Amino acid sequence: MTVLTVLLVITGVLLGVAALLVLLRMTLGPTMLDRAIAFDVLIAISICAIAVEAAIDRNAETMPLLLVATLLGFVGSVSIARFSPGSDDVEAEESDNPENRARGVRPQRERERSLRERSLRARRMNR
Amino acid sequence: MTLTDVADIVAGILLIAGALLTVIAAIGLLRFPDLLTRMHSATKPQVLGLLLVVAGLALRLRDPSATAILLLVAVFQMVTAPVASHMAGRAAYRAGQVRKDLLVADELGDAIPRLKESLRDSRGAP
Repeated sequence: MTVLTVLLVITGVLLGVAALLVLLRMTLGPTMLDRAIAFDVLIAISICAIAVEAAIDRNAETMPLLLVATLLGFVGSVSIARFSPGSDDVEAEESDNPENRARGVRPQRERERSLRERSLRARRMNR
Repeated sequence: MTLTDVADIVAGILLIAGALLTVIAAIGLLRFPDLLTRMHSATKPQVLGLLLVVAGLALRLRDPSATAILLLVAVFQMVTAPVASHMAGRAAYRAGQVRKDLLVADELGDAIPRLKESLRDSRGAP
């Protein structure tokens, strides 16, 4: 057991403690965005954990996994933030943008209403 | 004590420094009161912690192809982390999930009504 192995085992324990605390924050919330941030940190911790495992074994086979995890964390947290309830992002941009108005892009709510009316009409005709 | 031994020890120190940063960030994430302050602590392992760990691993592996991939990991993380944080902070502010009593300066609070006004003017009366 060399000095390096001792250092790496301590590193693993520290990462485990950090992951546990982040998991606690993910469970407590309270909002979806808090969980998105915690998810980002959890991905960073798991990248560190994979790196420590590679350092212990001295194998470079898990390197592509690090790359995939980086991009996965980015896509995950951005999509949660983009479509989080209450932020009104998508709808506000569609209706506020004058170009969209000119092109005839309608806001989500209007589109949903017209879809509902169309299905109601179709049902009436079938009768 | 050869050069590889020294490299191994330096790698171990870098890895342990990165792990310490993640623990500090996790404590901050658990104890800070609102989303923006939590984001402040969340960036530590995402950029500096990951850079330390990646540098340590590159020193331990001492393999050019692995170093190239690790460099790519570091670059991707440094490019994508600010974008993700910006999206989260923006969504939180718009949803009103930011504690205004904790803010020192609130420039966006002045900017949003002005933006809405200019949009209304350019489009004519609603």
